[in-house]
Amino acid sequence: MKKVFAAFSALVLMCSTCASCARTDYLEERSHYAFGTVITAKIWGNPDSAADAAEKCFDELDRLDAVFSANSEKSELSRLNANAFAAAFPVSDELFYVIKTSLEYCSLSDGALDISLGRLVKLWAIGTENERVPAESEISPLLAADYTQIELDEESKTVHFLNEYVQIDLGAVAKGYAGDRMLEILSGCDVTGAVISLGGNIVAFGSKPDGGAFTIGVADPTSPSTLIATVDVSSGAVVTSGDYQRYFEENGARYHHILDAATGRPSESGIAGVTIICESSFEADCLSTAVFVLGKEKGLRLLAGTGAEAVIIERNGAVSTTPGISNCSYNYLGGTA
Amino acid sequence: MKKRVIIAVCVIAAVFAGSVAAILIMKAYAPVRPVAVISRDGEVLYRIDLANACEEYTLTIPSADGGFNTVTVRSGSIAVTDADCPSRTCVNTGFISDSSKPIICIPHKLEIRIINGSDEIDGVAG
Repeated sequence: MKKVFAAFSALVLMCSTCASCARTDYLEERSHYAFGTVITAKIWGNPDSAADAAEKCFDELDRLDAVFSANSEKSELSRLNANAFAAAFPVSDELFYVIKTSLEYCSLSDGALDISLGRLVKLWAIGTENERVPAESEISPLLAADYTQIELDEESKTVHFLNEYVQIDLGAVAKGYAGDRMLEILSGCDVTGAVISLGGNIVAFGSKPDGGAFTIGVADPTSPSTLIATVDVSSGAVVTSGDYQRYFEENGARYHHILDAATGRPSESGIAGVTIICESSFEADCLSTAVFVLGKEKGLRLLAGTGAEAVIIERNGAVSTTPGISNCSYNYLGGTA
Repeated sequence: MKKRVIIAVCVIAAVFAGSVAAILIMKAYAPVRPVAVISRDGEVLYRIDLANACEEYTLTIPSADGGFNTVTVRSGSIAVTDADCPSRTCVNTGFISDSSKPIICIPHKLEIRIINGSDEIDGVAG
């Protein structure tokens, strides 16, 4: 009799332990500060694996921040900017890849995305305590810089600036690349699903505990705490560029952070927010900035050849989408329009 | 003897299964009580049960650089209603009542996040 009870108790204990180990609906919620913004992570899986995945993701973000930061003098990008006009400067494979891919989107968008505007970004200093409207005489000389004056050598992995005013700023694309790295890391972890927000750039991995896709809200540019639409994604990215994310106001005018290389001033394309949905976070980040600067018509033409879906919200309240948006279970909630 | 063992095993198994079912049912039907977690530079400063906030009140949270954020707590929702940061993005976010989007003040490294809220939306792009 005693033996039977002992065996039964051991069985119950074993089942409980196994159930705990095999639990895959545990939700780990963490936040972290990197890339000058707050990163939030929701990761589903068993408790140990989910916590481990969050640590790995945040460690990787810190590493990437140290490579791509334009504000840290020690970053690899800052060293490149300090030296690449004097002579071709060798960079890591990773930085070379990010610059090369970004330049492809600069070319595809005919300069609507332009990573060579580092000096203009620092001049406007939007989102910092030094933000101000520069004089036209300060802006004009910097218009001589554009992405075509960044020369790459694939063999030696060097970058050379052909114009003294060129400085690379990867603010429009680095979080996008980091999002793709998050997806790579998560795919190597024993987790079932995750949603990571890199300051509003969303990457989703896997599925919810019930097996369904993740529902991601699209913020209404005129009232960012409310949603104008939702889309469903499994593994992929949802990235927004908007004039409400970083800006300051002076004499009743709003000066936002997305600069137009053609004018050296905040883009006035009539768009308030562009949300791109596609597999790659890097591609989504490049395209969202490019479409924002191009405006609705040219932006939709650019997107037609990419396979990415988009929600475009104009300043006048009009909402446009790409033809395939229904594939993302697009749900318009109303609002601005 | 054998019959008594079988009965005992069945009773224990029934109690075990009943306990598991009770836990699952309680978990499924537990009332949602949104809790706001206010953190500064990663350090949790406050956990506020928003369901208990019957009357509106404010908290002033100083930042490391001498600035401030004024947080207003209402029943079920929370907002930064004043701040001396340059862009005032945190103020412009308005009141939040679920976990879909946190309030973030980058200059002051302040984050307000709601946990245990309604989870229909898994994230917000913007």
